[in-house]
This record gives sequence, C-alpha cells and structure tokens, in this order.
Amino acid sequence: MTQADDGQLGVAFPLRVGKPVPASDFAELRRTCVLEHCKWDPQVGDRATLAPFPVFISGADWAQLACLAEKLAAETEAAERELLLRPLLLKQLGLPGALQRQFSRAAGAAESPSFARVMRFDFHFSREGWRVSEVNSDVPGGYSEAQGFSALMAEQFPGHHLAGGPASTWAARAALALDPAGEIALLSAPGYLEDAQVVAYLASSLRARGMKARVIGPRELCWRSGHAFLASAQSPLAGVFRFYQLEWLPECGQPGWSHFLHGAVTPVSNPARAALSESKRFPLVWRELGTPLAEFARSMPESCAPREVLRRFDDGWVLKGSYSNCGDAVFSSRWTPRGALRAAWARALLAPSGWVAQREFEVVPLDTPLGTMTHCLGVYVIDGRAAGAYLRLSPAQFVDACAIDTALLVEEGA
Amino acid sequence: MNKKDVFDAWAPSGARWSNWVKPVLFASLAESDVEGPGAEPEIELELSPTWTSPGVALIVDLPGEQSVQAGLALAKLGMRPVPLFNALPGFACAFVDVRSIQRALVASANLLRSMSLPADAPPAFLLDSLRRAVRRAVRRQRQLEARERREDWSRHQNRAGEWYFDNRSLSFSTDFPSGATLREHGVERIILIRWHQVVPGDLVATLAAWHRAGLTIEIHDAASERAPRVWEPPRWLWLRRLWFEVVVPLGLWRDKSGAFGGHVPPASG
Repeated sequence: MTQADDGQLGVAFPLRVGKPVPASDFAELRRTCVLEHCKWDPQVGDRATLAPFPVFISGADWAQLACLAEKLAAETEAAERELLLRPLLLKQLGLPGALQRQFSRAAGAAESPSFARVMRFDFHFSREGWRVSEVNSDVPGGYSEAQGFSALMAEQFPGHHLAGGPASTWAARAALALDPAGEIALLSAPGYLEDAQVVAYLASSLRARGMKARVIGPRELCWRSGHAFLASAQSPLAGVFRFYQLEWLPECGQPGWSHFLHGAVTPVSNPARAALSESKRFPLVWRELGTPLAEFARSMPESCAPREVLRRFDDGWVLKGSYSNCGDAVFSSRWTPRGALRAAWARALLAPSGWVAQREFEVVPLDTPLGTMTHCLGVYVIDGRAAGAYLRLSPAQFVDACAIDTALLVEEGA
Repeated sequence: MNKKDVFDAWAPSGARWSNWVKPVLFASLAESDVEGPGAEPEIELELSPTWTSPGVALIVDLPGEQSVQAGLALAKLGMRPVPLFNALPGFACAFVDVRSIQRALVASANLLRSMSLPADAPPAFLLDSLRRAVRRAVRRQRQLEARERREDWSRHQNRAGEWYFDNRSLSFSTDFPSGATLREHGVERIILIRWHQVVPGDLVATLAAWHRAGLTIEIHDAASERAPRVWEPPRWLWLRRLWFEVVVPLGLWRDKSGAFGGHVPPASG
C-alpha cells in the first residue's frame, strides 16, 4: 500500500509528492547548493542525494506535527534533568563507563551552562498516524538540506514555503545567548566531511549575523579555569558548539573534556545531558522516571532489552545500537541478510547494554518519480520551538546514510 | 572567473562522472583566490601509455597539487579528471596544505575547459596522498618551514605542541562509483598511481569492493620503473573486520588520528 491508497489508512496521508524540477534548472540548483550552502556530499556511491522533486504538507498538518515535536522536546528535557539526579539509571542507557562515572560524579552539581538547545525528532507516517522512531538529541545534522537546499527548491514552487530555517534559528538563539563580540568554536571530528559540512554551514549562519565563528577539531580546544580557549589563542571563547558525539569524548584523550558536563564557565551547545536521551535505550528507563512522558508513550513504538525479545520468542522487532547514527546499526529480518542479523543479535546478547529492540511498524511508502520510497521526517526543535524539517527518502526499507535529501514545503493557505 | 566557473570546468554539466566531484575545495574558494588565471601548472609526471588504454579507470593518489597536475596531463590524453579532495581548507595553519591544491584547480580550469573532453571520457579520480598526514611528519615539515622563515617555531605552539587546524581527511568507498557502475560504462581495470606501491588503509575497502565486482586492480609506482603490481584483497581482511567489529567496540583501541573513539564511526546525526 502506498499513499495513493490512503483511503485504507486510519488517517489521511499528509504528504504529497511534487513534480520534478526540469533537469537543467535542477543542475543549476544543485551547483548553488554545493557551492553556497555547504552541501558537500551530493553524491554517495551511485546515489545522488538531492531529490529533484519536493514533498508538500498542508499548513495544518505541519502545525500539528510541529506541536507534537515541541511537546516531545519538553518531555525530553524534563526526563534528562531527572536522569541527571538519578545516576543509578544511567547504566541502563549504555553510556561508556568513563561518561557514566563523570555523570555520577556530577549528580546534583550544577551542569555547565548551555545555549541554543537543538534536537530533531524522526517521524514516520504509519497506518496509525505519525510515529517517532527516535530523537537525535545530541548532535543532529541536516541543517543545510533542511534550510539551504529546501529554500532553493521553494523558489521553484510558488505558493509554498519552508517549514523553517533550523540553521538561522540556531544562529539567532546563539546570538541572543552569547557575547556578540566573542568567538564561537564549532567542534567536529577531523576526517569526516559530512560533519565538517554541518559545522561549516552553521558557522556561515553565525557569520551572517555578524558573529565570529571558527571550525575546529578536538585537539584545538583547551580549558583553563572553566573557560574554553582555542589552543593558539589568549582570549576565551564565547561559546562552544559540539558536533562531536559526547560518547566519543572520553576516548579522544583530550584533557578537560569533562567541562562539557560540569565545571565550565563557557556555554556549550548541546548540553552534555543530551547524550542521555540520545541513547536508543532511553525508553527503557521511562518506567523508572517520575517525569510524565505521555506524548512519547503515545508516539514511540514499544522498546525493550534484546534478551526480553528472545524470552518472548517474538518476531517483528528492529535491533538498534544504543548510540548508532544514520542507520549504521539498525537490523531487522525485513532488510538484513540472515547471517548478518544473527551476528547482530549475538553481539546484542554479548553486550546487551549496547543495544535495544524496538517494535517494528509499517511506514506508509511514498510514490515518487524515483520509485517507491520510505521516508523519515526529522522535525527540529530549538529552545523548545519547532524550527524546520529535514526529510529523507530511501528506496530501501529504512532510511540510512545514503538516503535522498528532499525538500519539505508547506502549502500556503492550506 | 569565479568559483562557479572553476567548478564547471572540473564538473561540467552532462559529463558522466561530474556528480562524483567533491565540491568542498571549490565551495571554499574566496573571490581573491580566483582573480586572474594564475600560472598553468607544470607537469612532472611521466605518463605510461597503459594508463590510457581502453577500459581503464585511474586513481591518482599523489601529494597535493601533483595530483591535479597529473589529472591535467591525463585530460590532455582524453581522460576526465575527477577531483575527490575531501579536506576542509583551514586558516593560516592547517595540517594538510590544500591551498596549493585549490590554486592548481583554479590555474588549470581554463585549460581544462578548452579541452572539451567528451562527456563519456574515462575517469581519473584525483586524491591527495597527504590527506591522512601523520602528525609527526607535519610537525617536522612545519618546523623546517619556520626555520626557513627564520622564525622561532616554539612561539607558534601551545603546550601540547599543536597550533594548526586539523583538516586531515579520509577517502571512503562511497566517494566513488560502485564496481557495477564502472563496469556498466566499460571499465574493466583500475590502475592506482602512487609514488610507491603501498595501498593506503582508507582505500582498501574501495579496492576490495571493486575487486569483488570483477574489476582488475593494478598499482603503478610512478616514481620508479618497477613493473605494475596486480593487487588482490589482503588475506587478513577478515581479521581486520573481526578487529573492527569485536575488539574496537569493546573500547580497547583508539584510532591513530586521535580524532574519534573507536574505528571510523559514521558521521554524526
């Protein structure tokens, strides 16, 4: 069944595929995107990663989705704050040992100041309506595609507008929170162009607001008396944006990394506690929390520990690595070869804290000019307000790093 | 000329391999970088006639601008140079000097455009062999440069001895077309051109995948007259996979670059 058959759905299918932009216009648009909007991976293997067609959503449907994302964001923040005070629960999240120890040590102490909190909720439209598969809470990417590329596509489709500009919203929030005369360091892992393009795009958004921004690797950052400095500079930074997963920090061997958790004077973004809800095992601690998580319970499929699934002799589960990214450790009998699936389950049983099982759900596919595709619609929430959308399509049964970035445009007056 | 013109020269619309061109160095060009045509690069590489045989695609893995110069020389023989430089240009001080690559790309743009290569010209993928520069080697190089400028090297260092932007990069198999696509377009043989015959670690997965797809892989040492060597995936490849899938996840090993914990994780978010 695809969106064409939405009469069979419990609710109306909210996404509509637009016509492709003519090839010569799209070539020009692609070039602008790569040269001006830091989209530096427009081709991954044999796949072009920019869709030449948009997907439309009505204003009412977008408002509903944005509202849901904001509620989920509020619940996420509240749950993270409670988790900080309950270090015994951290073990269940699958955090690396060094990070667990730091969080435990800091329990009850003031966390380092933070600015411009951003998270992205990954939604999928199913027979039952919108389901959220996970929250990219720590280091969500996709800003260039959600803003730069989508704005270029919006120019081709009068009567439609962007769902929001996550990069410019983030930069505006940073400008409000930080010393406007200071320099902001944007940290990412050397070697990864996909990450470098994210920080480069955010840096350009900061510079567009007249702020000073500098892209760095972890070795260029040092901490003195709680202030963050560039290794080569004498004056402290105004803020540090971390596009470097928190769970990598203990292993990168840089002294002072614990300042991201506590003891810093320089504000950081995102706060370290984001790594707690980033864990795919986050739902496993919900029952233990006093924080109400009603929207999560409604929108997210059931999750449980891998051993529980084996005890139930149950099928229909997706196995996910606790700190997986871009679908790199997502296994299911629907798309994983039998041998690889067995190996993944064996690893999950050997190291259970590194994995979680999530109940499968059927995503309603989209008929597109490139064939039938599954979708993942990420909704950004910045400082509690919905700030844009990042839509990815995939001809495979789940959305991974080779997905096709697609502009989501909101129909005006609808 | 502007950066759009430079990009168009290297990734012309309609050419078969243009979509694979990595845009980062073109996107990072400032207006001042593209003023004036610049000196056309000199080509020092001695080209082997086998490199341009039918059914051959090349990977040119030479240091910095030499890779661009080789690409231009190969273009004169009808091959389409496809720049795959992944490093971000830094500020004044960077681990890997990509400014010289940018200058070479700009200086060659007009000449390359004037060649009017056919859209289906076979590809010569250009890499910078210094992309994963060993930190010690870079530091030594910087010391020598500072000495030449009669500057005090230690003045530029922090206590950790590091003061430059870490812009090292990796080549991934997803940077290239698949073996099936190459074969579909008549490629049967891949020749890797280097200054010696050692295959860099980040290219092993790419070459192994192409080998599995039925392509023949050869390595040519451009610095000597040694005969080309046919490359087979190393027998220890399974051991390497075991290492990455079992030992590394247990947190027992750190990547040499120190950039990240564990082995080459996927990009974030």
